Formats: sequence, structure tokens, C-alpha cells
Amino acid sequence: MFFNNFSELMAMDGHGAYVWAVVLISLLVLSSQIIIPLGRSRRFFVQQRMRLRRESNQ
Amino acid sequence: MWQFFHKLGSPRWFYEISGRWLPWLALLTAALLLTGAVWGLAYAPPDFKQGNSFRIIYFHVPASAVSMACYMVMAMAGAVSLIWRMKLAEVVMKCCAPIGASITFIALVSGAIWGKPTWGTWWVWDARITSVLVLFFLYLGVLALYEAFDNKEAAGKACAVLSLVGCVNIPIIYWSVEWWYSLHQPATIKFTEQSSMHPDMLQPLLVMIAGFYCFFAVALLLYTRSEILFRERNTKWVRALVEKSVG
Repeated sequence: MFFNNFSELMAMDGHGAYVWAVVLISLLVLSSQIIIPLGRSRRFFVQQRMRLRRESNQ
Repeated sequence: MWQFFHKLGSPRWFYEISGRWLPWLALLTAALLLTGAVWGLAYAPPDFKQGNSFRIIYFHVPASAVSMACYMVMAMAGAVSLIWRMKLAEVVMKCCAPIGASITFIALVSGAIWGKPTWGTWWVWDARITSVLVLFFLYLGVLALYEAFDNKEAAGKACAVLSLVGCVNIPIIYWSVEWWYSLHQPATIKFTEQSSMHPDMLQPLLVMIAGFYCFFAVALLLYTRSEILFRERNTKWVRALVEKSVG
């Protein structure tokens, strides 16, 4: 590793706040693009199963 | 070839094949992004001039590259949907917009954050940055335009035209740093010339770029699959899937 220890890796000679902010924002935005479509598909199956049950009860 | 094309247009075939590819592609994406990020953030040497703030490059450059590639995919899908009326192409076009907007957002924000310690300012109205901002608005425009129509067929056509017209912006972004005097530095990696970056810094960057491309593919597959399910909800095969999911 380039840095001697974990706190040096966090600080990055004073640039840590900038670098880690980018990492955090990227992580949040990228994961949202996985969670949103997965959630949509899940909701779809839940709704369609409810529809199926309603139809079979009639 | 035509048979392949015909098959590719079938949402059911796409759903089944993509379901088989997804786990592997997701695994590859996670591995690439994790390796690239740890390598770039902790192991690559710092820049001689910029110190450690240069490490933002490992997110900024891949995001910028994919933000343009995603637009080209969106425009091509739009063209295919206009010319051959392929339904699947329209779905792909629509699904590119949110992913492209997100990745362009990362490119813009990481660029602004990088600008502060390097240039002393968050934002300048320079050619590169402004044209990328236009790209971001184009993605939002496609999203908004699609929602503005009640008739989804007309919405698809309008979005395809908008994304094709917006293509003009891509070469402007690409060559903006060479055409205009700009604060933004010119490209470090070029296809035609030797890269001006040290291999120790370049290798993790290439891994991250590959990772972002794979990520785009995974997100696009996920969005497309959920949209296919919704559009095909009244077909036999989707009903069969729903029944199977009851268990």
C-alpha cells in the first residue's frame, strides 16, 4: 500500500475529504441504479400475484 | 443474422437470456470495481503535481466515458426503434436515460469536487464542462419527454428523435478540450497515441473503466428486464413466471 496506515489513507494529505466524498457519492448513485430496477421487478411480481389471487377468488 | 435480429427483438427471448448472463456479469462488475477502487485509492502512487486529489480520476474518467457511451447506445436504440419499429429497442432506449443521467451526474459532481483543490474553483463555464452539463439535461429531457405523453408509442418516437438530435453533442464533448482554450486538461488516454500516464496509475484506471462499462450493462439489463415484465404483463409467458414465483 502507498499509505503507511489507515488514518493516512483517510487523510490523503489533506485531500481525503474530496476523494472520499467522490467515492461516497459514486457508491450511492451507482447502487441506486441497481436498487431501483430490482425493486420495480419485485413490486411487479407482488402486484401480479395479488391480481392472480383476486382473479382466482372471483 | 436476420434470425438473430428477429430473436433479439423478442422480449421473452431477451428476458430469458439476460437472466442467465446477469449473475456472471454482476460478479465481474463487482470484482472489477472493487479491484480498481482499492488499487487506485490505496496502491497507486500520488500525482507529482496534484498529490492525492488526483485519485478522483478513478471515478471521474470512467463515469465521463460511460456517460457518452450510454448516450450513443440510447441514440442507436432510438434509431433502431424508429427504423425497424423494434419494441425492445424502444425499451432499451428508455432504460438508458436514468442510468445515463446518474452516471453523468457522477462525472459532473466528481469533476466539481476535483476542481476545488486543483483549480481553486468548483465550477467554470468552460466548453467541456458546459457540454457535459448539456448531456445531463439531454438525459433528463428524454426522461421528462417520455413521461409527458399519455400515448406511449408517440412518447417512444419523440424520445428517439430527441436522442438522435442530441448526438450532435457527443463529438462536441469529446473534442471540446482541443477546439477551445479550456481549463479542463486534454485526454490522457488516447486510442491513437501512447498514453501520457505512468503505467502504475494507468492500470487501475483501465480496470475502473472496464468496471463502469460492465456496471452500465448490468444496470441496463436490470431496467430493461423490469420494463419488459411490465409491458408484457398480459402475455402467457409473464403470467407463467408470476405463477411460478408463487411457488
